[in-house]
Amino acid sequence: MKHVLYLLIIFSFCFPLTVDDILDKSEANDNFKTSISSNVEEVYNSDGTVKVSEMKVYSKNGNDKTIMEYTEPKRIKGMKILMLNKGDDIWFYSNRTNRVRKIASHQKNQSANNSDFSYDDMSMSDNRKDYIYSITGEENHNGSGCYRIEFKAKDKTVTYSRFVIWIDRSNYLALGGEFFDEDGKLWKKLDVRDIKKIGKYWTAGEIEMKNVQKDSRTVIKTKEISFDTDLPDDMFTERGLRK
Amino acid sequence: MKNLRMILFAVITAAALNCKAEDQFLKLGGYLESRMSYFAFEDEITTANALFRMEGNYDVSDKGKIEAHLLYFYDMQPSNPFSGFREGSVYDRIIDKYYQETIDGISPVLDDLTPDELDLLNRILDIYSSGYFDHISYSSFFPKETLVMDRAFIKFFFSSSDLIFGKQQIAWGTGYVFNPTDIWNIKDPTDPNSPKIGVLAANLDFFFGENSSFNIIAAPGSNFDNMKYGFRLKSTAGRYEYSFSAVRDKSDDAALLNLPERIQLGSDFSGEIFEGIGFFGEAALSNPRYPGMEFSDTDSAYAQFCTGFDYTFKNGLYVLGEYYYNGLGENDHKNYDLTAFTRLTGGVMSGLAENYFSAVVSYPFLNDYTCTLIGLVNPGDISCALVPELEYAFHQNILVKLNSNLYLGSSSRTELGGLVNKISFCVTGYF
Repeated sequence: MKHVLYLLIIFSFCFPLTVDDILDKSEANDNFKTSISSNVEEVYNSDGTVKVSEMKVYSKNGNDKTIMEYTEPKRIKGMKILMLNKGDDIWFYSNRTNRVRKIASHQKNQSANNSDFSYDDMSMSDNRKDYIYSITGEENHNGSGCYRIEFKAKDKTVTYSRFVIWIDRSNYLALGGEFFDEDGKLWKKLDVRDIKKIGKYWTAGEIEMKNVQKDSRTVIKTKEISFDTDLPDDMFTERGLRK
Repeated sequence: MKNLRMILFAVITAAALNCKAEDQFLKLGGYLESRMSYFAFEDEITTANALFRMEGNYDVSDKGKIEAHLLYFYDMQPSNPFSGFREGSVYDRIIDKYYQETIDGISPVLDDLTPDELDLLNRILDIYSSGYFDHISYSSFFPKETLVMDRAFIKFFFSSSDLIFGKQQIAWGTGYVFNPTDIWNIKDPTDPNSPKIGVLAANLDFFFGENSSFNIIAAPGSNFDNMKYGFRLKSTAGRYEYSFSAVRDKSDDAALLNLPERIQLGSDFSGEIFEGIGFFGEAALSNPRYPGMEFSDTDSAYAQFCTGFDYTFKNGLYVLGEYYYNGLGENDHKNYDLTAFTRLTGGVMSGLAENYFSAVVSYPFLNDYTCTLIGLVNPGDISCALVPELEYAFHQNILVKLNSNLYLGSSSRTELGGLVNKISFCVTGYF
């Protein structure tokens, strides 16, 4: 048994992880059946004002299906966003107009609820099909040993011209990122904090997106989260939005 | 009676506000909107009104819920829609042609009228006297009564269907400025985002597949003849959503305006072209049945459709363009007549003319501001409406809006040029 273990270790050095292996493992962190979380979103604007929203987020099959419902402020209470196919398809529901509208690709790069996150950022969409990606090194990020993976846009239809993410070597969680605009200038910085294991799953307690061009930042804090409770499939449909 | 309603409203509101906000089954909210408008015409008038909306819904269980919205509309200076048109406008000409002002008010002109015209005019006069025209399409959202229950329905959830019974909001179509397939609402093209008024209906939705549904609706009138009913099938194909509908349209309002019943086949779609440009459209084919006609007679059939695109640039600038074809419309302003006016009023069409182009440009800036410009062009009589708006989020729950309706074109020969320029200041607080 010991020999087998030694052999495995030797083999792992002979065949280091590929970039796809790392991204697969990173995505596997989200392999929960369902999750329900209550979150607070704080937007710190450059003029010093702070805007606070609250939302409830329900996800199924990892982040394959997600529905977000704003619960505060009152002006947007009841508005919902449905994301299917890892954010490839997004619907927006306004309870005041009782209309469900599919968000076209051109709107995905827009700010979600005036925050520094775009719909694209929120959707956890699979970037591998739209970007060329590679490992560009291993370095420390916020004190953790990380893989540095760089994504370059295949064409100009996507939100960022390129971006870099740091993935923790120990648990394969993305700890941060830097995102560049179409002129190649640094646009946003992502910082993932307060990481802890809840049940079987690594979870971030705080995610901050800083817009360095606007000098604003948005922090999403998870107040409560639970995993693997039953959520009906029809919750993640247009019918579910209207319920 | 009015005082009784007010007392009832106050009691309901007080009771609602006293309910525990944290009750997970009962959700309460709403808004108060206060608006002042200045109309720039000869008798320069300023109107001021306030709208209080109380929204409540109660989740009975996972099998159903109850929802009710109460509206209290306080009009400090009643705005008569007839006074909202310039003297000498096409609207005035229609009114002048068929009405005369006497010391007792307005009465129909009795000379040179056929019995049918006289009957129609008497009906219109009755409606006018009853305040119906407070509610025409060119008023943004003007409930008929001071206290209105805009939504009041019970929703039942079954395994693969929902039944909604009561006064509810129904919104059909994918157009932004125009919705020719939506027989349930009258839309003001210069105020496309105004809330839609509740419709009393039984609405059964069957769901299948991921996002497909089959919807059957019946909206009763005061008698079986004045009833709207029909169905709508909605589904997706790739990145497109589409629907088909078939409805029989007749209502009490239509009967009062002497509008015929009609069968309407409709279809709409929305999706994108060129990898990211939003593309949408809807079309309606209507066959009205005038007295003595059968539905198999298609001589009076007409089509309406709209199509458009929208796009958001990376800097947040949003642009939308939309074209509307109205098969009932006229290209020559001389043909704008009482029939056209009643069709417009009754929501059978969204303008007097045959063709319209509209555009919307919107741009958010400085975190809390959004400026929007809506443009509507009637190329037939060369008139135009411009609606610039500045919105400021004073607080997360308080919106301040300054907007203006500017109408360009000859006031005597054009549709839009005959409307009165106005500036409005509106504050909305949400709770």
